[in-house]
Amino acid sequence: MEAGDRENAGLVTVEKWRKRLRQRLKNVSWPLPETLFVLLWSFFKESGVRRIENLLTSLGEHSLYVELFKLPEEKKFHKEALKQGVASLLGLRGLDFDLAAVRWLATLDRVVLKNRQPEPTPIRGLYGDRRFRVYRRNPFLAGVLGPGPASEGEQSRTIEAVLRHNKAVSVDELQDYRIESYEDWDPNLRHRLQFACGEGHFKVLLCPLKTPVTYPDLPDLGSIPRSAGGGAAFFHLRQISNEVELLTELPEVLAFARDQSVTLLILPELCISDRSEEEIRRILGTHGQDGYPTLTLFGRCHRRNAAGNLDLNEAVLLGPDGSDILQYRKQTRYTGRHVVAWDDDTQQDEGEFSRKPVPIYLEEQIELGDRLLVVDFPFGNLAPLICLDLLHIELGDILRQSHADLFAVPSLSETTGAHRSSATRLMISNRASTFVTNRWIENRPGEPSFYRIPVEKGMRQHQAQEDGPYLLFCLEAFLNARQQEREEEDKRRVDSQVRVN
Amino acid sequence: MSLTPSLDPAFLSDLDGVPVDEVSPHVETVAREGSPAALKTLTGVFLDRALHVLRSGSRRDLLEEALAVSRGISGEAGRLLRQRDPATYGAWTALDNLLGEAGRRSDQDAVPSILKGTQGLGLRVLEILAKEDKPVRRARIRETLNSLPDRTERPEVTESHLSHLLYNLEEADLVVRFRQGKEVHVQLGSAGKDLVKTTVCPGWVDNLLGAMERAIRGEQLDRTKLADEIFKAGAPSQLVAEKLGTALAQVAAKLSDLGQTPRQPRSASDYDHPRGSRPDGLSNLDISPRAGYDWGHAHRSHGLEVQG
Repeated sequence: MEAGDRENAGLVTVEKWRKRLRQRLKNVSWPLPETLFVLLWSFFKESGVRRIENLLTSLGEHSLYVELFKLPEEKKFHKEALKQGVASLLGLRGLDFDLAAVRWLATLDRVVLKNRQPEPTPIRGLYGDRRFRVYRRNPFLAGVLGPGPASEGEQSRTIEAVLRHNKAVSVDELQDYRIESYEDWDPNLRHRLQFACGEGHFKVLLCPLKTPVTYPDLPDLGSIPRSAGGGAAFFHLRQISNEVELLTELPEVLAFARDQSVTLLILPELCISDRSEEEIRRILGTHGQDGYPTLTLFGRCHRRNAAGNLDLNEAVLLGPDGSDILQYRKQTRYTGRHVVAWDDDTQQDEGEFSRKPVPIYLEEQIELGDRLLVVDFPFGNLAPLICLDLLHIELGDILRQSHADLFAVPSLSETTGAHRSSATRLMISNRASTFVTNRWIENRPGEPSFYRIPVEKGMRQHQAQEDGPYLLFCLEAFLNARQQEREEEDKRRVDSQVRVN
Repeated sequence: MSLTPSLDPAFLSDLDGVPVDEVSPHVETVAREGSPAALKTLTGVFLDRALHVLRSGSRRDLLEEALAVSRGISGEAGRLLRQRDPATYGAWTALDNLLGEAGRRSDQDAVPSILKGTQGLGLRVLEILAKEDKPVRRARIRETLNSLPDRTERPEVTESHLSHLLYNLEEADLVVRFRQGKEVHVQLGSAGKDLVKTTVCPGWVDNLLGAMERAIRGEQLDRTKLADEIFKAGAPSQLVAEKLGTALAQVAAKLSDLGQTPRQPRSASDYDHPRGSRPDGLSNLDISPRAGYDWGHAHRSHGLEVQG
């Protein structure tokens, strides 16, 4: 196809979306800001931003600072102004239409901020029947820490570069996943967190546990039947054999979190049995609603589902007094590949060349969850995940499309390299911060817990010698340490200047 | 048997003007066990306090008030109140939502409460940016804030403090931060530009300065027209505009006369005059020279002789 034909084909595609948008705008009898936001956002998501970015650049405008339309001061005149705006948009064609559309979208990004979120009725986008709600983004740490490593919001060809405050999020299923905004939580807790946020008090404690948690149900790899091709078995981690030891450590952990006035405590995946959970709730109950840690997230041991045929792998989020906030179900199943020696009399003798190590696959037998829960905490739109959820490719797309910008991840994994890579990708796409508490099975060494915050040198792994048994992120201490570094750097610069002179 | 203070309506009615931490301890008790009279009294107190804090409080004040109210609708106390008195529970929930939302918002309507919570530093940052009229390095903003004349009256602005301050200002679109190389720069955002025009350096001040320059050049000024100009440009009131218009017109007339008649020797102290003792017929004007302003400077710089 000739370049001209390709271009024409492209224009036809864009023109199709313009036509669809015009049709929808004509049918909007009373243009609410959220409705217009979703339609315009959907237009750019489907048709792309290349053309408009080329135009803005040619006009000397930066896509980050698109010129806004001036709306009347008084809100009661906004709707009339939006009506007129829509009418004038409908009168435009081609790139003029696109330019006005992007300016309206950027203007609406500010207007929607004024309105109570979320808009109750989801709004259909331009493509198919998928419906959206407008949610406020809240990359709190990215905001306080200042412009850091480049995020999508600062990059070329992204609509996020135009929109600073809001995002249209699908309320319908996305490839069998669903994003659910969790809003029904205690007002006193909400205000408390908001207050702490205003004061800059934000601490996250990653506690991988000193106790080497042992599982009596962990299968012996050597006993799993296998052939020359290997073998597979399900595993169930429903009980902890050294629970007494764990029950001794838990009060220590909670006392430490209380003394440090921790905002969010994260324990590892699959480490808390019913008995331990009872103890955690009891201890937190004594702290009361003003106590610390303000939030506690832990991974429950496997427990049977209602049907009794599968396990559930869940993370539980509790408030300061041990009351329930939410329970999240893992959306991905762990399958671990282990290599074992051949010497087993259950093996079929297939000759000398068959006597080699074979892979054994251990798989969780769990009922997969189907929803990402996003809670609008003042410190960020928090989404709990469990281990593999963080690195799963398909789920990663869903995370990226969500309004989550703070990920808390109990984990049970031998390695965390892939977790760290995913955390960096989410930092770029969502300006997100990710906190992962990781341990491996029993006393076997696993890669350490870590956090990834959107700032230069924002990846920090737990180093037991330096940090002690737990890794504590404290926003205030981080900022003060940064100040000290800058002062020392300035001093070094001045000293070297003096030496030169 | 006397009521415990928390349950005594007479005691509760006195909580109207007290600091919020004196209110909080009683809310849960009233929610759990308060009589209808106590509930009604506390509801009234909440309403009065809310009105006050919505009109003049900072975001922190709003959140503190919301926290106090929420004690009565959260947890076990909230559950009991909902059972005992759903109407009061509903009223307190609505109030809690209102205060909480007001304390959370960062849109343009929230700008006054946001700035109030910065103890004046927010406005200072806007002044620095308005004066430069171009992006300013973050480090320079901190240096400037820490070298202002009022520095001794408040603690040093630390990195942590500045980070939170700029974050809050950026949330309200008052400023925008961006990275240029290794440095972070800050400039006025769209809301910040609007605020500068209306409050930090209002347009009518530019009109005033323009009129002063015309006066210094020897132009005669029409006081009515000038007052009208200043008022339309946004002066706080017609009265202020009229006073300024009259004063400037008289100054213009005097300067014009000085330009045409032989100059009389003056001492510099004649220009540093206390209120009410103006030389040359200005004594009846109720304007105060700005503290430290050297009236003689205007004359010296324009070639008029001042003899000390």
